[in-house]
Amino acid sequence: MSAVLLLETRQLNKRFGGVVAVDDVSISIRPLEVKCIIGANGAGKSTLFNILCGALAADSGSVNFEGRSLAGMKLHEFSRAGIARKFQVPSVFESLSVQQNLETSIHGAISKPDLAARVDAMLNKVDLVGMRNQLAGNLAHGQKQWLEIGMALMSDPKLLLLDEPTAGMTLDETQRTADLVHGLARHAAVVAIEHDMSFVRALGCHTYVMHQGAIIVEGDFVDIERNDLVRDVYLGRA
Amino acid sequence: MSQIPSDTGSSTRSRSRVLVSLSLLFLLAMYIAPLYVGVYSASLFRDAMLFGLMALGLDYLWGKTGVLSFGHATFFGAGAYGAAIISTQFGMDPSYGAWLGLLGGILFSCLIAFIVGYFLIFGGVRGSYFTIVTLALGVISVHVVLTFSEYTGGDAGLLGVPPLSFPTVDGFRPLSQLGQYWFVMTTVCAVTCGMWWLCSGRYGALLKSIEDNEQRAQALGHNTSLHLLIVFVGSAVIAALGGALYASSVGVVATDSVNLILSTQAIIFVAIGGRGTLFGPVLATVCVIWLEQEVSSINVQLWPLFMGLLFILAVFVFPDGVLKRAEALFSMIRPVSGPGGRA
Repeated sequence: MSAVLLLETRQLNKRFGGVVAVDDVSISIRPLEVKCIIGANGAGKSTLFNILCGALAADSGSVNFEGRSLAGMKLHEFSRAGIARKFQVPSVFESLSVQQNLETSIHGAISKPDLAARVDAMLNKVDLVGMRNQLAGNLAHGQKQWLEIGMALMSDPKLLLLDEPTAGMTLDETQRTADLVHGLARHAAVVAIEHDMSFVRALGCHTYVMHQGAIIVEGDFVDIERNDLVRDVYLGRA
Repeated sequence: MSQIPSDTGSSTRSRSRVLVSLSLLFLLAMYIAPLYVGVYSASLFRDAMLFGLMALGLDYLWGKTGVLSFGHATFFGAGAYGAAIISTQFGMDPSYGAWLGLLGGILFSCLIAFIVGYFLIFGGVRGSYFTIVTLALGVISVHVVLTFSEYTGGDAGLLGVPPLSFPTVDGFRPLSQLGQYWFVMTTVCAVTCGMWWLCSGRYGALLKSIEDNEQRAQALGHNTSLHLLIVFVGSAVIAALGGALYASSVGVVATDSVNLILSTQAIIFVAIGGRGTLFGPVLATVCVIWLEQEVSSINVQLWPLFMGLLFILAVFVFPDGVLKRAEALFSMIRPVSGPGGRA
């Protein structure tokens, strides 16, 4: 690895009772890199994400972000360090308007004109300008997903974790989301968990395959698609 | 607001103009009312407004963040007892003793809220568990008052709490009955408007986001536990201000200003007035207490029946509070607000 690593995990382990959810996972992400994690349901992808964003603590192993250990930090401190996350189930604030959702996505003080400018820019980016005064609870499913990506981006994160960003989206929306993610990668590294192979194919990035908590294969998606082991455990029986 | 289509925008504005002028008229009526209704009714309204402060405090917590405290009378009572004990038990001159009592009562309540709130909120206690623990707080505080009766007066309560004094041409003078009414009225209006202003912008949206999905708010970098603790302590301070002013206006403090019935009433006031509206709970408190007076003067046993009826109405007929219901009726008469017009 030539450049400095943005995020590195070493031998992460997490068990829930007798179930090994994350088994000896070591991954690394460089700044402005796009990576995907694929795997069947229950492969441990979301648990891995929960550890990366601070919602869960690993049983053993380390997570380093920009060379600093994140051990023992609270959820909001992960976010302030520069890790943003879009959850699997769209979790926008349903009783706030789209605009308020974006406004509350920045922590700390910010001047009114600055905030307004950033909110306007983000509304454009995620294509919700006409919806700004709507309650977020009234948005269509795909719009909620986009709003949540926008919320995650408001704080200018260095690393964006997307948990199934295209779940429930139409083919067209999936394609547009892939374009959006490529655009984001100019400002932040992106790691996406996905089920939807057309999305991963559209991203065409370095991909990890998880199976029963462990990473079994990694490489470019074109190679992954041809890999017999992956076909066997995941793609072939999907 | 600038993005709202102009027709909705102008009608929203004209509607809020009507609302503002109505409120100002109402305020003016409340200010001059004691000159016509007499000192007794004025003191009734004054006390009702102070209980309204307790409801306002609870609404700041429950209405804005969704965290329900079932022991808010504890903070009202801590303010009242704190003020009464400091101003009567240390032989201070009442001209400044009353003010020190006011300050001390508020600080005392603030301290209790900080200690209890810190362990509950940072300990991750939320939802109904929080409500149940604060319920216990209310029970404990009554026992504390009865146990330390040499300071609190026990069942008999404390008498002779001095009223607040203000400098006049011939030295410090305690407030007259009318003066107290106007002072309380002004304070309650100022605090209510202040809280409304505080919660109207991004801060209010932040609190709402914590109510909606606290983990999500944390993942956006907000230290939600710290925010909740600040709100909890703030809401206790507002309730304590009501309690301390109550002690100095009425001159007497007894266990009925800490007990469970008062905590329950605070919740009912907020529910009737409309959770999260801030103005609603204060208005509801004044109206309900006035109604209690009227109904009880017919027959004392009627009131609990009325209270129960009101609560059932609050739950089934106007779950968002009377203010919201009145607002809905108001826009039916003048159909002006489009969907999302208030967003």
